This record gives sequence, structure tokens and C-alpha cells, in this order.
Amino acid sequence: MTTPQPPRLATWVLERFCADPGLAGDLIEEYGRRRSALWYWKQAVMAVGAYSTSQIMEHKWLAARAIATGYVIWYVFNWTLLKGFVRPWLDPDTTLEKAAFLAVGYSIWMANGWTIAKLHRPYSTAMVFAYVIWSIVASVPPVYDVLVSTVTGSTDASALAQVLVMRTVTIMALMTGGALAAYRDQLKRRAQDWRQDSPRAFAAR
Amino acid sequence: MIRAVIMAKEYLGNLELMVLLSLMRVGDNAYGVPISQEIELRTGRDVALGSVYAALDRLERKGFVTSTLGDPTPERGGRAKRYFQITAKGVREVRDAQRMLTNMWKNLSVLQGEMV
Repeated sequence: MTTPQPPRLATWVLERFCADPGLAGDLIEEYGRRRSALWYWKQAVMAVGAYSTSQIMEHKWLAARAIATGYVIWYVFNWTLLKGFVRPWLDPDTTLEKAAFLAVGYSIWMANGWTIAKLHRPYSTAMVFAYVIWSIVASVPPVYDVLVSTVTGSTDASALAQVLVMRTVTIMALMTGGALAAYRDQLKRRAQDWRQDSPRAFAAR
Repeated sequence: MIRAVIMAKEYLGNLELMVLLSLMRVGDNAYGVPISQEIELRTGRDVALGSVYAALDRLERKGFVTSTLGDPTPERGGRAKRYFQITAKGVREVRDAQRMLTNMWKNLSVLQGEMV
């Protein structure tokens, strides 16, 4: 009898953002009984939320440092590199230039997530999550402004949709950067464990 | 007494207490799945496994539980089980919480149906 495979992306996200060695296995075991992809996704999202919140509450100063770090990186790269150097040089008028400008912008956001994760080990992804929460809170006033102007009719609905999409992609880029940094660390740790347990290392003991 | 109640509130949350009690009921070979199933069975509440693990992590940091990793199994996608055991400190904490809560419940007319 083969074990049903749970959604791979959910497991990947879970293992990157919730580095508990037993949790993913427990969820897979439960998935074998309940067999609902929706249940699995719900559990994975709730686990990431509960784990990250617990880590943030436990290490409040580290979370504050992560937010400050992310803000400094955003300020330096967004204002000096992106808007001060890339925009005048690229002068995004055509669709291709605009796409290139956005790609550079989102790469910076991804690098931001990566840097926060690297500077806040072993709570890397929880600290990225802290910055993500901050970014969502900081997004409320500008999104509210666009929403009000859409409701009053001074801008059309496409402007609101654009702002929402751009903010969502920003959050995704941040989280992807954090998850990739955590993934690399996990791979390194596994390689280290393997080296420690390898026959050569065992013979040398 | 008041200080002790405040300390208990600070150190042991509602879910944490439920997790510790469930851990004591399951006994040996307690890991995430049976612990959450025991809570569901006894309380009728559906508890997310992630919340149980977050509580277990906090309890381990406070020294109320310890954990060990078992062997990976195929039905878990090659992942190991994390087994939890309650420590003597954890048992003392549960006993203290029971005593304090029992004292709080004593002679409550609202709960005895005199006042609704």
C-alpha cells in the first residue's frame, strides 16, 4: 500500500518556515488518515503562523532588530539604488523597461528577505515573518488612500488592483528570499550531519 | 497566594496546561499526533498541530518537557517522530496549577447554579 502524497508546496513552505523536525512528519501521517489537501494546507499555514508568532513573542528585541534591518535595507536600496540610479538610467517607458525595473525592484525585496534571514539565525524565517507583518501594517495607509480615491471616483479600479498586486508580490518576494536563505542553511546542516555520520568520519573516531 | 497565581498565569497558558495533561495521559511514545488527538477527545476542540508544537516548544524552553528524535518512517515521508516526556518540574507545575485553579473554583455560586 502506498502512502498518499500531501501537497509538496505546502510541505516545502512548512519545512522552510517551521523548522521543527517532527511537525512535517506528523502532518504527513495525519494526511494519510484524512486525505484532504485543503486540511493539509490549512494545518501548514496555521503551523507557520503559530510557530512564527511564538518565536517573535519569545524574541521581541530580535524581531525589532529584524524590522529595523529590513527598513534600512529597503531605504538604502529603494531610494539610492532603485529610484536614484536605476530609474534615471533605465527610464522605464516601454513595457520591457518597466518589466526590467520591476524585476530589479522585486530582486531587491527578495535580497532583503534573504539578508534578514541570514542575520537572524536560528530564528531566520520567524524574523522575516516579523518584517512581513510590519510591511503589511505599513501598506495600510497607501492602500487606504488608493481605495478612497477609487471609491470617490478620482482613480479607476485598475489602480487599486495594481497597488494590491504589487504589494502582494512584494510580500511574496520577501518570503521567498527568507525561505531560500533558510533552505540553504538547512542543506548545509544536512551536509554537516551527513559528514559527521559518514563511514569515513565514523572510522576516524 | 496572589503572587503564585500571577506566576502560574505567566508561566502556564491554557493550551500549555492542556498539552501537559495530554502528555501525561498518553505516557510513553507521546508525539504530536496522539497529543493533539487526546486534546480533541477530552475537550471536543479541534487543535491545530502547529499550535500544539508551538506550545511544546515553549514548554521545553521552560524545562517542563524534554524531547528526543525517533527513527524516520516511510509513512511519514521519511521523517522522524519527535517524542516528548514531561519532566519532574513539569509535573510540579501541573500540580500547582491544579491546586490554584481548584482554589479559584471553590464556592463559586455562579457555577453552582445559584446565580445565572
